[in-house]
Amino acid sequence: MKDWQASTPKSYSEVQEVILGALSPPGRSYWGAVILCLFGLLYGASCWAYQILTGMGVAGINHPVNWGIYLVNFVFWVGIAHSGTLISAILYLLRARWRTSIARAAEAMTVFAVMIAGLFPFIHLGRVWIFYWIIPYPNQRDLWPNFQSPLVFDFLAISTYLTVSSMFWYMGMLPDLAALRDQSTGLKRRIYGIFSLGWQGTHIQWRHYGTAYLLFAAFATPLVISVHSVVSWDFALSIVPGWHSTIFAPYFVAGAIHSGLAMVLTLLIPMRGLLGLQPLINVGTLESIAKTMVLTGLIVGYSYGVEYFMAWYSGNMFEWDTFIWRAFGHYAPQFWVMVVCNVAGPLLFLIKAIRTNLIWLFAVGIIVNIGMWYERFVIIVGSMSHEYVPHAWGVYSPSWVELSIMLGSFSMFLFLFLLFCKFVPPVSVFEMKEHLWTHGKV
Amino acid sequence: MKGFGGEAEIPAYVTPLTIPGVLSMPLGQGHTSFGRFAKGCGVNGWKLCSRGANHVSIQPRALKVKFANTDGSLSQHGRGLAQGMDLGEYREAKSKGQLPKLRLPLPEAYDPKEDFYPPHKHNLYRWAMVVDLDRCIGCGACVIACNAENNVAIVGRELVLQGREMQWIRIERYLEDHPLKVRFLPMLCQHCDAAPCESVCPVYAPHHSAEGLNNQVYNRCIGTRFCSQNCPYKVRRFNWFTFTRPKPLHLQLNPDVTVRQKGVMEKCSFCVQRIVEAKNRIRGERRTLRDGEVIPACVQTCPTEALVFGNLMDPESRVARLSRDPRAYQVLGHLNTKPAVIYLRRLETRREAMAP
Repeated sequence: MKDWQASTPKSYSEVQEVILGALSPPGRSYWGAVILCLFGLLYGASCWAYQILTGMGVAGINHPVNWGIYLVNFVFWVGIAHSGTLISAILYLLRARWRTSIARAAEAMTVFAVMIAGLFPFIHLGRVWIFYWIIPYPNQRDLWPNFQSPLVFDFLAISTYLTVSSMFWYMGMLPDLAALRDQSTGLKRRIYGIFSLGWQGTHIQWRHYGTAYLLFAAFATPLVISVHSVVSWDFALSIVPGWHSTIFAPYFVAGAIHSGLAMVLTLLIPMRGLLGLQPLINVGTLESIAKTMVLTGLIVGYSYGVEYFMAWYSGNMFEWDTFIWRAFGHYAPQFWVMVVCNVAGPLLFLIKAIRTNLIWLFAVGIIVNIGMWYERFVIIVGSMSHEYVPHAWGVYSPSWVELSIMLGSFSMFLFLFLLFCKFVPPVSVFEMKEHLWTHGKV
Repeated sequence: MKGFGGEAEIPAYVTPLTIPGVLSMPLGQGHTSFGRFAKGCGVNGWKLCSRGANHVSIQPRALKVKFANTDGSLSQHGRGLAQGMDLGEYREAKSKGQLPKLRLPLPEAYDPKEDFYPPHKHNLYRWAMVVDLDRCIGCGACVIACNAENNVAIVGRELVLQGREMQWIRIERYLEDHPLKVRFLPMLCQHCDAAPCESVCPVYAPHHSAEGLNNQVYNRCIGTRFCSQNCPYKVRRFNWFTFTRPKPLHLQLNPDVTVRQKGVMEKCSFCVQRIVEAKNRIRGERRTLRDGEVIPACVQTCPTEALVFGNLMDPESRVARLSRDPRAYQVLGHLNTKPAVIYLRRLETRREAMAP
């Protein structure tokens, strides 16, 4: 591979050149991609408008499957959002060196994914125009939300996570935005100037910055665990067989990190090639991600096993029946896609040749993304369709409106990420320099 | 199917409930001039065998039609939802004065070892229903009565095929093999005392009334559909669209019941409008409602009196007396939702009752 020969920057100026070089004016294909994604986003948005005007019936959901792929996508995107904070906060606290070059991009991915995830519960609401009834604030209607409901926990958890992760992301960017300001002229200089909040790089600013960043990292760390635990309680606190399980919180957190790391691979491999960041994001970094995915994949596989064991061991016929049906019933193909992609897929990374090969890394990233999407599908739809009362059993398949909105969400994600790549430094300049100083190499 | 009067293409439904080799066909369909809704609906069987000639020939064709029924499964899969009881056993239990094991929706049934939430206190009334499976003949009159009384939308074939029927009460039919028989199970909101739907709604749209009713506050509902997801009986119905009634059908709407907008959940209310009306009637009489003064639409219509409605707080009411019958049980009682609909097991021969 070429990467091994790519010259690694040896000085501060080289680091700065490589990273800010990524921000050079983009070509036509970039703008083409941006516009394409924007169209996808607008198409999804108009499908949502159509759904609001017509009613939820335009989605494929029915009785008994009241929750369809809107919530599958919700959990999927929340899951994607987890690795960013894991990489930027937890690995920061653990002083894992390989995080530095990818933290910024992973965090951007987090922020965008939470934004999209946060949209899906609204898309899913039957009467979205009164969504604010779920917010606890003193009001003249004398309404107060039900704090017993996992949906209220969920609302609070997601909004907290969005707030913290975007502040963490933005704050980590301040010195770099100031560097951009100092480099540019005219309107660009003024815009970057506003966003860099008067950063001068003084000692006192750096001292405050260091403390604040550490504080945020410490604050965001428990959130990585808690947010997806809360999301899992949307299911685990119900009495639906297949959902009502104590393993759900750790199972969901591991799955979230698994899918998030897969998305990091999917995004960063093309990004580093297109933006010429190979010297900074080297194969060694990607290999570390791959190794972590072997661990998360094993945890996810273990959780699948425990679910089956507990269903059998409980002696609860409803529970056991649901799990048998998952593996051999109407949704058996989705179930086996999930098992193979999430558990067997990452095990390929045990082979060194595979986890250091960019094409393989990218391919397994995609495979795990697909598998994790199906995991949420199997959990949500696979449990709903086969509950307590056999008379009420039924199956579900998504309608074109649901699929269009899903397409819209992916377009929105890529749209935001493409803008991110060209308007802010995709790799933290000052952290890479710091790295060069402490370790003598990036 | 070919007869002397002509021929017609008719879908056949294969069911173990008819004798092998027998085809049965309802008459009275296939109108040509009976209004826009009757037109083109089904096939007129009389046309096939006109003028007394009753011979028909059948030619099977390899076409498939989707059959708009609501049975997710015709088997109980051993889940014991619709139960039977041996007659001899019942007589013995009755003579011994045995009481059934129930978790009634009353504060007495509260058990700190099993209950997470404190018991509900009820004022004067705790409405409940008893469904006698031995009397139910599965005619479905209760379903129609409920539709008419509560302005329940009729959604049509396409939406039924999509699993979007709106009935608040339904007749579940379960086939049992060896020997082959059907058990009918009328299923409606159980007005649980520990209702799973109530705890998961973020905006308190399902509301537990002081009389034990599980009220659905339509105005408050924002449509998360979590209540329906968490209802083990699957009796909640979501308004996928704003269902309308073409003129002049709007004239048959019951003015005492609201019509629901798209995006809200609805379900059986135990005909709360009739409870309110009965209370208004006795206002000023300085007494409580007597047994039988409130009759929900389904109870009123049931031709075999399989449904009984009343106040469980009154130990002499019919529902309270029937709930002490050895045949009494609660569907999915082990979930400890404390349903207020008490079922009476179907009386069967020993062999029949053995089936789970």
